[in-house]
Amino acid sequence: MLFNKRINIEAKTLLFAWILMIFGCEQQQPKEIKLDFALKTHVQLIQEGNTGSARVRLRQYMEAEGESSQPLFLMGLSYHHDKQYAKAVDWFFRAVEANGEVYPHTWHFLGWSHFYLGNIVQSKANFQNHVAWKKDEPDSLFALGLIAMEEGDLPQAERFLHAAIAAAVDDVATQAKAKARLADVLTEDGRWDEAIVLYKDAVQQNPDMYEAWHRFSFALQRIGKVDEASRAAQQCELARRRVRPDLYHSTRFPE
Amino acid sequence: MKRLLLLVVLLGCEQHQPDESSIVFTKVESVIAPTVCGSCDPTQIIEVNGTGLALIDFDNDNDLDLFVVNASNAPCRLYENIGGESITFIDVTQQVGIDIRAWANGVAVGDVNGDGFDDLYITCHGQNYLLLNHAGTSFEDVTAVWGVGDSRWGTSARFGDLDGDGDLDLYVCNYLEYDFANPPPPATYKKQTVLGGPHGMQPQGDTVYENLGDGSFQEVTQEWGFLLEPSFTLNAAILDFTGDGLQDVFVGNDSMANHLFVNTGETPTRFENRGLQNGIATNGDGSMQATMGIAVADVSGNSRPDIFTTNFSSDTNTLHLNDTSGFFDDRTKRFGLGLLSRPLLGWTCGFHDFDLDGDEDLFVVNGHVYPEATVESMDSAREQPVLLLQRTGARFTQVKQEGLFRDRSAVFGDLDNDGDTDVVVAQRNGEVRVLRNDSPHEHPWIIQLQGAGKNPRGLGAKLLVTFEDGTSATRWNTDGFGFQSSSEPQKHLFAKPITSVEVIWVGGESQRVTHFPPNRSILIAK
Repeated sequence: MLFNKRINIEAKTLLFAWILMIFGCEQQQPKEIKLDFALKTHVQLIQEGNTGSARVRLRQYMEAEGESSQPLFLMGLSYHHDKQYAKAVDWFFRAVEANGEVYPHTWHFLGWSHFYLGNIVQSKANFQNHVAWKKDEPDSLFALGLIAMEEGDLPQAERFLHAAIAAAVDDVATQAKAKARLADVLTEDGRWDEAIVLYKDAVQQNPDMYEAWHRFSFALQRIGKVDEASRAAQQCELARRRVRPDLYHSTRFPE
Repeated sequence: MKRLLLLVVLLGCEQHQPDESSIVFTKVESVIAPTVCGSCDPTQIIEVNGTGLALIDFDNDNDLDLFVVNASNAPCRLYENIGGESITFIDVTQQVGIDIRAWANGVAVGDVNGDGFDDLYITCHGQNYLLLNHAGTSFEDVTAVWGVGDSRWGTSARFGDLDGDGDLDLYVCNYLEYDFANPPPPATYKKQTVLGGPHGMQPQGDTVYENLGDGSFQEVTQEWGFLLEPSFTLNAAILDFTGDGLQDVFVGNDSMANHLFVNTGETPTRFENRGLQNGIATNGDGSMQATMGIAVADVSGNSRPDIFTTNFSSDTNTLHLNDTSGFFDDRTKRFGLGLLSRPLLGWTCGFHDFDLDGDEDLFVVNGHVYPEATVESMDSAREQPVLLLQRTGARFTQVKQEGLFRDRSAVFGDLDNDGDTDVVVAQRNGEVRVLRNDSPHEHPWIIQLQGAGKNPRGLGAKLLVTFEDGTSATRWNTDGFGFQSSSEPQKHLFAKPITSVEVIWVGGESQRVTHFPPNRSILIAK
């Protein structure tokens, strides 16, 4: 029984590798699929946080034009924006099942929604799909690094996070957060000095990353640099107040 | 291409169920009445925490009896374990003269007068109660005489020898100011209207009592350094977390930074909060969490107590490893304890070697506070499964459990004296489930501790066990730190032949035993 299961898993792994290889060969230059210009307003509403209005308009759009992957993706994105990930997953899944060409970034957001729901296997599979479509997509590489950390596979996490940093040449925010998480991986091995260099680099690139400031401060504390740790902790507090003022008044629990 | 990608997702999805586990629990029928705490569908924060359980061998007949706390003026109940494989309880509440009808929430067990019979401390919204156990025949309400009638909203409470004088002091966790006549307005969570609190409400300070050893306690919250800004405290653990032989206090606060009160060893007794510096106040990202459940075990194998805490849904539970340098590192991810807890809202948790394979597994009870909670609306259901995690090497692997519950409290102990750890779980306003451990195992090696003087259970003692195969394990004699609950520290169960045991009692005195009797069971007395 166990033997059969192992063979099964190996066969699946081989199949997966084969799929990745084919995509890798075929998709050197992934075909860019742009969002329909008619959906521009809907995207803008979501970005502005007017997700309810966006959903009303998206339903109207689909009544007129029929269901297709892009408006279905945006329905999912609206719930993702609201941190209602179970609903987001439903819509993203409909988007990838819909007739017509899949909007490829759906895999990415489906990966994050599953991640926040604690579905690590589904999350990983969707990020892998996204990377199969575009192998140097930095945020999906970053996510795969996080997932490897959750799986306890630190060498793999290190590889993905290095890949994310390299891929995010023009994306400072992603590069910064990947550096901060790579520093976390190093701390797991007790490599505090190397981690501190990365944390410092990360918060210089993006001073709004209050969680990275916190980890930076703790790493400094660990190696006895108490004054520097205290300064980093102050920066953490300033960044948190700047980025998440909601934490200081009405939010009941962390979301 | 789209179909192929879907195939990848589906192939991936098939692999997440763990292999068959060797941990087996069987629910046994019992007469234990359902718990009561407000209405079934709570509308106020006062109702959501539910009520606690305690295991107490009140009559010293060598089996674990069960105390069940109830709120809403429903009577708290004591059930005597009358033995047998089927784990049979009978209600002896009236027989032993217990009559507590209050808004009771939690319970702690400790022998406050050192007469060899465990006593009960019950926390309430309103005055708490100390019930003195008279030789296992009756309980007497001695709250006023002993001076421990804290009248705030008590949640969990812990006994421990904080000043190292040999008797049990008392730490009482207090939550927030709640006025039944003026409840808080509703709040919003994930765009849903839900019951209000704790944010926007006034947190309460905790209370620390010194046992004077003369039949009374004295409040020492300020004198001993525990007076800080009030916080929403839900739980606490008393143990030597810093490795200096002195008892420290870890305090879990809801949505606020946790505290680690380190015993400075000075005279007079003094504690300092070093939670922030030591890294235990928040998770690794600096987020303040809910911290309902606390479980302690040597997860990393360095003989230091690591701390696992349970938290709100859409957050993760957290494992802090206690480094020998005095820092706590968040290593939740490395042990596989993070993402899988996001859909769950966790309460009592406990590390126990349920399958007697030599390492400690983890049992977490769950249930949402909002009756409106659904996966669709809040990414988390109102009724949730038990999260049972089997230790497999360097990771914990989920063992799927049947059933969905609104659980809050749990206690762990060998209820049928068959050499493994059984569990009793209580839902909020619901069934109390007795789960008999039917995992296949050989007869274990059993260590029991007997302290001296006024700490006869040896609360806080540390055991360093060395096995024949050269490996070792560390355990602590605690009440389990269950949310609003108390498991009696009766037995330490081991799967392998033991060659030596070193016991380090509170205060640092140690004792070594190298001969283990053929019946595999030993009582080590101080």
